[in-house]
Amino acid sequence: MPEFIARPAYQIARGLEVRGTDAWFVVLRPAENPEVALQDFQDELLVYLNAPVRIIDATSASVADLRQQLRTRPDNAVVLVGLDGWNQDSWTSLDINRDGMVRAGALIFWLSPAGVLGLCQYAPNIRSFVGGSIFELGPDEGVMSEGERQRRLEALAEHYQLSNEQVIQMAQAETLPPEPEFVEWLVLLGRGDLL
Amino acid sequence: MACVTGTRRFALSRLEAAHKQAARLDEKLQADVNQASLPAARNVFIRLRAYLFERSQDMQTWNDVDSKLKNAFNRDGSVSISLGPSIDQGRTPHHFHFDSGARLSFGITLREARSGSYLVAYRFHFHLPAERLPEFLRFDLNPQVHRNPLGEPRCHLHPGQEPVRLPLPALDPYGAPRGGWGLYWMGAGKSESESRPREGGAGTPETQQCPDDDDLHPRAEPRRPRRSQSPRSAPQAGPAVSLTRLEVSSQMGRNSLQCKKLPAMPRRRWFHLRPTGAGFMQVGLNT
Repeated sequence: MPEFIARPAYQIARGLEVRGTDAWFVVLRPAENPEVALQDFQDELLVYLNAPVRIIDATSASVADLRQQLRTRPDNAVVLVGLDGWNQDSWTSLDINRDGMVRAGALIFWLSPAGVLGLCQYAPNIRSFVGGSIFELGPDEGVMSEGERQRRLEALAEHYQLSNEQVIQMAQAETLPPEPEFVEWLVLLGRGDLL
Repeated sequence: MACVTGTRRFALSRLEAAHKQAARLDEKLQADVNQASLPAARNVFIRLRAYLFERSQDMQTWNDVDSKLKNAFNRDGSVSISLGPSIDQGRTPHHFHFDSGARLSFGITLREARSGSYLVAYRFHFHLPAERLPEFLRFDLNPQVHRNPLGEPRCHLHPGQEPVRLPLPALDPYGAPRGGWGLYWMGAGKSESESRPREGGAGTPETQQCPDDDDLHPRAEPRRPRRSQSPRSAPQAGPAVSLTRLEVSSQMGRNSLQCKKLPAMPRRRWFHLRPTGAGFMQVGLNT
């Protein structure tokens, strides 16, 4: 299995926006929480493409069914899921029908490593359309790391000359100052229950 | 003597009325915030990031939004979305920078609900470029109504002075088309003719709006006609401020903060706030 470029969902979505609405991409989905990742990916696409994004499940669909679904609302971006279990015959059949899948909206193949392998081995025409646009879904940089959380807490403690424990005690006694910084403080401490 | 007593009584009654009015405003704000339905916190974050990325590109100013904008989700459903330091103590690489030299940092706290999320608190600290006055504008939404809403309105603006709190309606961080609270700033420069403020003629203050308002919200739902009433606050801008008038008015029981008659400048970068939906709050500032 070759190495692919790991990119977070928002970067893939921005790439799709730049490539144009009719681009074909392959996204190597994560093994953990693929449903959550798919939802996040769809949300990112919605924001950047500013167009409806449909998810089509190809698990038990025939090639004819898929073509029909892709022709329906062809301007929509489509994320094609459920291709991971497809055998050689199915991939070959889909590959022969490549031109019938051409549409105005973007087409994203949401695949596991096995799915990517199937596409690369048995669907050379689709592969040529995709070109180099095969990306591994990478982690989101936006998630605050533990180190970043601690640095923010330290900055608050230094500015207000209060310890984390004092802030929690003040919140419990309902004597915390009303400023939003103290809200952030409690949330960073994982004590949103005190708000 | 009777006169002094009468004056004092009058002053006390006015103060009492002001307290009551402040309490009413906070009550209304509380109801507005409670009613404002936001998408899931994750979705709010995604939209904010996309918006900041786009604005940064428009300005052609390097802001690594992807690494600056952070989220922290807790098991109790509270969520913090932040950019830049919690306390602005000077320019840092973690701020969102404008090509004018202005900088922005903010923190938003949301709580996830069964469907979507709701707003708990926020802080937007917008620091103007050097030698501009006011030095900063900070928009705060406190988590609760204070026992003294006149001195500490739940949602307020610090116009360059920590102790000064001007009451405000709540804002929308990314411009949801229906209701809520809002933060916007315009990136792309425009030609003088394009960006010239639209000024209502003498005696027609109703027609005055911040410049380029439509350009800022091309996909927002149509705004209701805005009808300003007599201003209730004095202008905040001095000679060094490009914002010439900042007005607070009221429409249908909602406060409205609106800038008017902005001066023509050859190159414009607007920091812009306005609410979505009803169009009852609007701030524009040349950065």
